[in-house]
Amino acid sequence: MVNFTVDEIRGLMDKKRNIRNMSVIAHVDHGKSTLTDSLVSKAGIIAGAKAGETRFTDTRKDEQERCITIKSTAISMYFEVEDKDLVFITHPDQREKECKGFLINLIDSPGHVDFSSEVTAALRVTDGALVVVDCVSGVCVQTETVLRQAIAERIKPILFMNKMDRALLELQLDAEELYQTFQRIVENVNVIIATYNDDGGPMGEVRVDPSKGSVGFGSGLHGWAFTLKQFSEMYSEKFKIDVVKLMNRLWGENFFNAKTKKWQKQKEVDNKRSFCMYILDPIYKVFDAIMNYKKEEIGILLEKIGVTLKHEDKDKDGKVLLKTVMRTWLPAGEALLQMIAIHLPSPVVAQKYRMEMLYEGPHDDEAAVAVKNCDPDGPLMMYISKMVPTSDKGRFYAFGRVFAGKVATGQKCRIMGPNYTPGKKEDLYEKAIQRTILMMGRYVEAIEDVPSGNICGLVGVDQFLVKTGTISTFKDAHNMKVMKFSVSPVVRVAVEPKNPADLPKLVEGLKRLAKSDPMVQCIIEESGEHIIAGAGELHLEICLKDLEEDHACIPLKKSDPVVSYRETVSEESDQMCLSKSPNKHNRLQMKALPMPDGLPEDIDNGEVTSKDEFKSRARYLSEKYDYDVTEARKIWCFGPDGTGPNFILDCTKSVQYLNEIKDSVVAGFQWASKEGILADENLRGVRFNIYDVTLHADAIHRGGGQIIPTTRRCLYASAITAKPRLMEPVYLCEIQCPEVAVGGIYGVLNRRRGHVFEENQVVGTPMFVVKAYLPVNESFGFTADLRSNTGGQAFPQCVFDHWQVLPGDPCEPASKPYAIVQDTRKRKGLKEGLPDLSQYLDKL
Amino acid sequence: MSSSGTGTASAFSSSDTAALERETETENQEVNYEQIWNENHRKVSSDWIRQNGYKRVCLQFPDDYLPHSNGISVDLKQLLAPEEVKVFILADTTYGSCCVDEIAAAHVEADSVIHFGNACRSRVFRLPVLYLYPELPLSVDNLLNQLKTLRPECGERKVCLYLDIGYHYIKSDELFTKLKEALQPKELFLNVFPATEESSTAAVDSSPELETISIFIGADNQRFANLSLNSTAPQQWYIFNGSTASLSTKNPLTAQYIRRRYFYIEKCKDAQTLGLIVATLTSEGYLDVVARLQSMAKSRGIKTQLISVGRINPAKLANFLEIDCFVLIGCPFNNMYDSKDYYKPIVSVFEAEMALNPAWHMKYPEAYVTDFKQLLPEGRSFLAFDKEAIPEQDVSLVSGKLRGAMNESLETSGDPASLALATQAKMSLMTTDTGLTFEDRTWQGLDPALGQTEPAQLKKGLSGIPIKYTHQ
Repeated sequence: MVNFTVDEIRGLMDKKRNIRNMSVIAHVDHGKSTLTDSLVSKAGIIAGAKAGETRFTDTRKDEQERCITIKSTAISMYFEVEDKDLVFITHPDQREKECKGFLINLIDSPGHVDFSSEVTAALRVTDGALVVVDCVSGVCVQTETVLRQAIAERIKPILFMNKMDRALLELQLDAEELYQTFQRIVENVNVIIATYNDDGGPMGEVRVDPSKGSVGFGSGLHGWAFTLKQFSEMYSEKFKIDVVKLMNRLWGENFFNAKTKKWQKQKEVDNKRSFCMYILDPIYKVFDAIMNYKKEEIGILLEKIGVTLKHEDKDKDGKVLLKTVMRTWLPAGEALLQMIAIHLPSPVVAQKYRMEMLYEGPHDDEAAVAVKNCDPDGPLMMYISKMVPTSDKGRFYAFGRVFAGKVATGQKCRIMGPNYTPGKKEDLYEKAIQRTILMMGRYVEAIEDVPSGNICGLVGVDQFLVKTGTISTFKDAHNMKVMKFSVSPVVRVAVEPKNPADLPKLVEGLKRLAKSDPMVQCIIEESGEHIIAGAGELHLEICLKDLEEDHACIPLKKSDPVVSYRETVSEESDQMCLSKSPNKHNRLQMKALPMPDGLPEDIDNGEVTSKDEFKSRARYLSEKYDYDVTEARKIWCFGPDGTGPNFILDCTKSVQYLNEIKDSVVAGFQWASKEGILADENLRGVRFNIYDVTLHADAIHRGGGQIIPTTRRCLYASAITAKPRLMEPVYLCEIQCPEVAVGGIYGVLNRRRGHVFEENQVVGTPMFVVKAYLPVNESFGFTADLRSNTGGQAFPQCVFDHWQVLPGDPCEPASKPYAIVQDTRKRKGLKEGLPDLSQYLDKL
Repeated sequence: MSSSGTGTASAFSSSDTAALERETETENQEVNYEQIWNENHRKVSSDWIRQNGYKRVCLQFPDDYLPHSNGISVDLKQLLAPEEVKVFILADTTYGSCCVDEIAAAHVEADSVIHFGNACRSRVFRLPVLYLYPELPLSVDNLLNQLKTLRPECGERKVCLYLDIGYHYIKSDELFTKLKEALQPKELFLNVFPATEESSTAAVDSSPELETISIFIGADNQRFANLSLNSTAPQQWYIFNGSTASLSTKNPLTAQYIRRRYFYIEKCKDAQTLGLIVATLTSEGYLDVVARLQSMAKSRGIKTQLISVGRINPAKLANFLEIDCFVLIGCPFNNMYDSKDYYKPIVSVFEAEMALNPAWHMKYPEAYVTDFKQLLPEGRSFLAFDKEAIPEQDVSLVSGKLRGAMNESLETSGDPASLALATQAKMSLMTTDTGLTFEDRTWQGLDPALGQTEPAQLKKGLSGIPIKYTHQ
């Protein structure tokens, strides 16, 4: 029975200090969804006995079948916190007076690296994160990635050590070993936090600390968990010590000598670590008694820990009994609830320091102030972070967070897409919200309105947004910042309908798919191919399945995965390249040269952008990359699309009418940088210098028609003479495996042009972590190959890392780049062969 | 006639190198004098002129026939010797050598045109036209022998044979009987392509339930592409190459071609401004098409601009920097859609129709339509345009962004009038909203800063000649 009503939830939504918006994040298979079940069952949504097996937040059929979370799922829950626990919440903005009820909006996120974009979308709308770590495998790659993202978004983390049952039953670690493991994980997590968070920063200290109660321990599968607070409460009576003080004693270098009844700071012969003695020992004893069927001992123990079995549970034994006992003794839901309520920030607290990270506009305008104060009476500011498919095909709930004001059914709002700029009409719609809804895992509940600080879904705005957007009632509102994903869509497949007449359905399906996933890109290429680009093989597999079964509903033909390449140059042009306009009255002279290492990445990361003030940009370029300041000030534009990692630079001296042709040159540059000379791929890391321009004196003879094609030809000539090269995307690949399997990994990587740059043993475990760079092109089937070569012991996580020049000259017919160029040209329906310089270069 | 689609671009004043390098729209095989001007041709043309009593005759040639043009003209004059008939040679046709250049003919006040070579047979209504096709050699026996190999496949099917322009002369009842014997199909059709007005291809569609095998006698050229794109229903294609006398199969390219063109259709949907290029002056119904496209674009909030620039080349079209996509309204044989040299894409009328008319939204065309007349009411592929059916919102698969129809809710706050009368100082300037937005350009012309600069005082200037001014 669900133990709350929608009305109760709606009531709590106004009590903004009693709201906790949180996401559950972790490495894949560390037990997020399983752990989430404990809270869901505490809320009465699923039966306690089923918690841990249901994985209620895995709503899709394939999620249940594969036992992997693919989409993040939100659920709103109502809990009451007992008075004795409320006193632990000290911050005035962390709870409303006279209110025990707490509203927890939880988002369960996927752990596989291919679905990182879902995590990003979840983090954006939450303020706190429950970081789950499998205490057997410890902190893994994805743990670090998601934690780093969380800190960057100013999300406060708390830690949960999961799978203690495995540590006890399978690994049979003794108490001290287990403590050391915990200690190490806490340290590892705090190192990551310290790396990305500045303690003096606006969030303050965000370290996790067991003695403060911000670290939980337990087993999601068995449904039990505790923090030091629970045990401290049990013992405080006995020791006559205050709970908080005792918590401090129960962690770290605190030892208790049972004989002398004295606390000590060092390990000695007859003292014992307090954590082991008071917390682990009782748990070990319960485990030992039940798993070894010590009937009598069980009875005594149960009495001691104050657990009375229900009648129907009396006949159970072994694991089943263990679960029941542990769940009754240390209910996971309770421990988690306390951690969340006490340690995670309320929207009131969080939005104070998050506003400047979230809002693009001036930090003192009406919208910014309302967001900062989480003001429900201010103008509406809502960020839509993703689209959730509805049962109605092709329609979506727009899912997001109300940061200020109130969103209500029927309310008229401004819907602003990511390309909206204040004052312009592009990407802006004024529409009424059809309905506001509450997301409840697999169900939704209609709700009248939702005030600031809450997470909800909207009906009727999906058609005006592609993936994300801002919703506001404030006329001068700027956008909320777009999310930055840690993964890029580098793997692509081409799809076509088996029956050509289904093409319009495919196109429609692609549009729906584009909406339903935060990161997938669906594009039609000039070659007529319909491309789906995703983060990795698994991501693509899921997208293709969704497309085929849900969005397009037609049988599809899929190509093998391919990667997209980039074109670059490796040297400065070996000659001044001159091109004449069609009427021969205008001449352009240019050269191409590669950008210094790191600059294209700086442009990708937004360190250097087209929007920068030109003087400060020039200063940055001259300091970091040794560019000539006067030249660097005259960057005409970036490209492709006005923002890409190439630019064209004016190095001319006093040329007449130059500013008149700038637009035409820019247009030609955008064109040429989008469709490179080798294989029509985007350019990357190329700087073009314009050295001289001769123009006809009559404006009519130096119009766009003369200059645009000429610029393109001149740019192509410059690229051809600057030793063009191809670049391929490269994965950073982390592989976790036991020592025996390391040899196998090297073998597989060598065959696939990968190279290992780091190999470490995970401290305290027999596991090794191998880090390697692997070209994306070679990564197809890598996981399977790796498994078969290591007896299934190695599990890789690949994430796009950088672009790398493909060795070999694409103009050399025997080289690999040449073959790739020809393949690509063929696929795109271009003339095969090499570009002919004489077509682009003119003589004076 | 040069193709502006390939090779280097040329504008009004191209230098001689450009003219030399320019690729011509040549047929794969060269024609010789006898093939285009034999006894048959002479008789037909002289009879035609005599019977109708024409006095000023234009001979229109495609580029690769030009070497023979003089000979033909002299010969024709001699044939008509006693009568005073003026013969003119027309070449370098404005839009494409397949169309009859009525305008050029009107310059010499011609009363008739004899058109040589490739013809699109668009309706011409100003002048009488005689089409003369070359007669290329073909061994009928060889053809029949090779076709016999197809006999097992033809048994239960319908077979259509199309004769390319060089082979129209072999069409005869005798050939029909021979073919029937050789192929033994269920049904047989023998057509010429492009069809003359008298013999339409309507008969081909008679029994749609039968599978069709089509055989094109000619070569794998633009005309074949046109024919196969236009044919409905998937079918098996064979090409009998007349010059090499070889038979080859050809996969129907309609599906693949349409898939490729979908990219441009998306581009066309994305466009804020469409340029309608009128590249024909003779084709019937081109004004109706323009009006239809304009109204469809308008109801989607897309601005249109009608342009006519004569022969199209990249340089001319690149002058329209703000136009996102061009629609070429020309004869069906005019094909420059695939050229990579153009700054912005060019789509055919059919593609524009697919992009703009919501009735095509979820419909897959059975065949590609090259002749825009078919898209007009009463045409074979006409679909009514319903403004209400335009989806309010749509995701572009090219840019990944949202594109909207008219954003009506915000329209009020926008610029109110498309025609504004601006008063500047004492001049009245009419500014028209041409559909082009210059606001994104960095260079918007010299800033006159009227009324803001102090009038300059009259000063005594320099005098003398530049090498030595008198005041120095």
